[in-house]
Amino acid sequence: MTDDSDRAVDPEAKAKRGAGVLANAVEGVIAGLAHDADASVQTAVRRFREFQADMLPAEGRPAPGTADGIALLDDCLQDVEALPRPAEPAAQLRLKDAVDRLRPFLKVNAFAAPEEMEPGHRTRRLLLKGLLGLLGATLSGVVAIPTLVAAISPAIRRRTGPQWRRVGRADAFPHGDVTKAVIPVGRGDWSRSLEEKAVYVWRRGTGDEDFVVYSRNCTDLSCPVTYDRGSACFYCPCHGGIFAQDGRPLAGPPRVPLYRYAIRVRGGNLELDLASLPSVT
Amino acid sequence: MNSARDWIVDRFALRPIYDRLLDRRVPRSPWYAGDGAALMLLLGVQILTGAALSLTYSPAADSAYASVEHITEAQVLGWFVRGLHYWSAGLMVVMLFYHLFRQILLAGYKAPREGTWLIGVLLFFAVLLMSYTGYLLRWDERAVHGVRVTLHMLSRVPMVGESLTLIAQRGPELGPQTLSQLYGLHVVILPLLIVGLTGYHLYLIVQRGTITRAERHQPVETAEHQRELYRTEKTSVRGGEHFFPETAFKSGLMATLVLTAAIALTMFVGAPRLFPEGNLVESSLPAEEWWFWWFSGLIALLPPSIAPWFVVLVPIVAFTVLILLPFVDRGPSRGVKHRPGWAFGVILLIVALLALTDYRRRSPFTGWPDPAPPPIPIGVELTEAAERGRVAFADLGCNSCHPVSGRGRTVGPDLARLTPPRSRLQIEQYVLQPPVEAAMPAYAGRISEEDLSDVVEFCHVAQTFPRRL
Repeated sequence: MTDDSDRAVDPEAKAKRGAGVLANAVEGVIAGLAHDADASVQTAVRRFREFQADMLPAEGRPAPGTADGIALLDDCLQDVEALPRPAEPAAQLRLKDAVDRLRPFLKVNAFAAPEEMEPGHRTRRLLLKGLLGLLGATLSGVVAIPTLVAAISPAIRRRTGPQWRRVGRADAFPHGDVTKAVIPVGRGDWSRSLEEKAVYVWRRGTGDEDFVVYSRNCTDLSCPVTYDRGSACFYCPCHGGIFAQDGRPLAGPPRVPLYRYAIRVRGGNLELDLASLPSVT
Repeated sequence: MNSARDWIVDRFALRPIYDRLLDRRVPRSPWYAGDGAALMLLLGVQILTGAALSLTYSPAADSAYASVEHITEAQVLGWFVRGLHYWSAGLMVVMLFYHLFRQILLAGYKAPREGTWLIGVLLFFAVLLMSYTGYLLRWDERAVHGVRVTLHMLSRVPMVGESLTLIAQRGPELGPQTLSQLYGLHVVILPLLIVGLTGYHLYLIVQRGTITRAERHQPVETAEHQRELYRTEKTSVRGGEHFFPETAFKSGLMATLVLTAAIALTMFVGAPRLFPEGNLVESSLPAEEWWFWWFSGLIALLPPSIAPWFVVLVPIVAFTVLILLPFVDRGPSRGVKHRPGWAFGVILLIVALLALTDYRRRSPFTGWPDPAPPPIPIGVELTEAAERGRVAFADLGCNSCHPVSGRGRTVGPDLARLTPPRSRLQIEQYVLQPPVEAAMPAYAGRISEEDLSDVVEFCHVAQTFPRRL
């Protein structure tokens, strides 16, 4: 803020003053370095001389306003800072001081050209910045929003209503036992794999419609449980879940009994509603 | 010749690259700080081998598995490319943890390097996601069940769980569209993200450096103080060196070592084994890749009351803690010596990770049907009844949980190690009606008289077997 108002008051005087300090500091760096005759020191000195010749104003001419000058100075300073320090303490101090005085030139553009300070310039810049931001936001919105919506579309268009699937002939399931059955998933779309999935059918008691159809997913994390007829238990392969024949959790992390599908018996066929359980169960 | 070189250097503006990236002074660093370079090299290997795999791999669910099989078995040097992709992915996860733990130990995230750290945290999770989506693309049983476990975890997220699951599954049922999405993530989205973030991570490392010896040996109060120390150190004859070739050589050496390990594993262990093709029908005993074993071990160990929340919380808490770390730990000390508590914590964490990994490897908590009857010690002659009991022991699923002499599943007590020894009557009563607190099914009402007396006979005699076979 203060820099701005300074420049607005008398840009030319500011530029001249800056150029004077800069010239001094550059001499300081060179003097500070001159005591070591290392090749890299010589390179640094040479580059600073070039900077001096290129960028510093000749007598009576204002400093050229260019970002190249700043970049070049930055370059030179990085070179100097990367050098091993001079052996002599006096030269060390001088160098450090000169570098410290040079650093502000990197932050404040002391070479600011007069035409950048015309009245109305700041308003125009502000307006352009705003327009550019608006343009960017509009363009990215036009592209990004449809892309995003397409990406999350499965959550938007959801399946509704029951999805009845045939499990098998009801009288084919033995009484009092658990049997694996394979049902068609039938997504009704273009996909042609993973079209079947297994469920476990428990025909309990002796009633003709006394069925339980378990999802094969462990209620802990959906690993596929396996039924062991010998022990009449379901075993989960992942973290030690074990379920009894009636679905009760016996061991391991699961706290919830095995999930059961909604079922019905129609025309002698046992059917389940695929949509009666959430998609991961 | 020289003029041609100068022309190239000038027209392609190579000088600033050399000056600012390669020929800069940096504080001296040890060879074992080459984990970053190792990660870079592995990333390069992943991009190269991944690109090669993508030339043959089919992302359609009905042919994905077959195409992986083709790459491994039929394609010239396909086994090498796939093996190297797999092993350097695994080592990348290992190096990622090394990288993370080393920075935590040294407090590499402190001022002015918070930005570098935050980008690094994002990279950490992106690479983990990459290693996860990678093994799903095989679309074998392990992959299909792996996806389902993740979907289940997503469904536990409060409020948006169901929507997240639908999006991650790309529909109401698991299917080929799920694989298409995983492919897009693994091959397009995550690589772009990782390459971009890595570039920015490196830019910040060039700008802000990495933690140095001087910073570790004295309290550093502010970012300005750090800059002063850093400048002094890199410009000193003893404390500094040139990035190229000194630093680059040392870290390159470590990177080469790691890659050599990946190549050796590829040559001697080979590409990972494929499980049967992905399906939702066959009975299977799937497992996650070894670099996630610790997580499964943890889930199995937790009390059931918190496990369901834990699986969702672990990643969220880990992410939050890592993101907040540089804003919480703002003390002036850096390095290991002045922060012994952190070293202790990291060592504890590493031990815990290894222990959990081993726990999952052994999986003593998993019961599983096994048709083979338990072995008997050499020289032992069983009576006829006991021998029938041994066969029934498998038929009745006793061995799905119970080991004998340390052989078999280890969910239930080892019958050779029962203390005190049980009488026939005690065993019989236990089998028919176990106490309520035991995780054992009652056999009363569904076991024949003969089977019962045979099994009791075998269990009774098994108590005299050695503890270990």
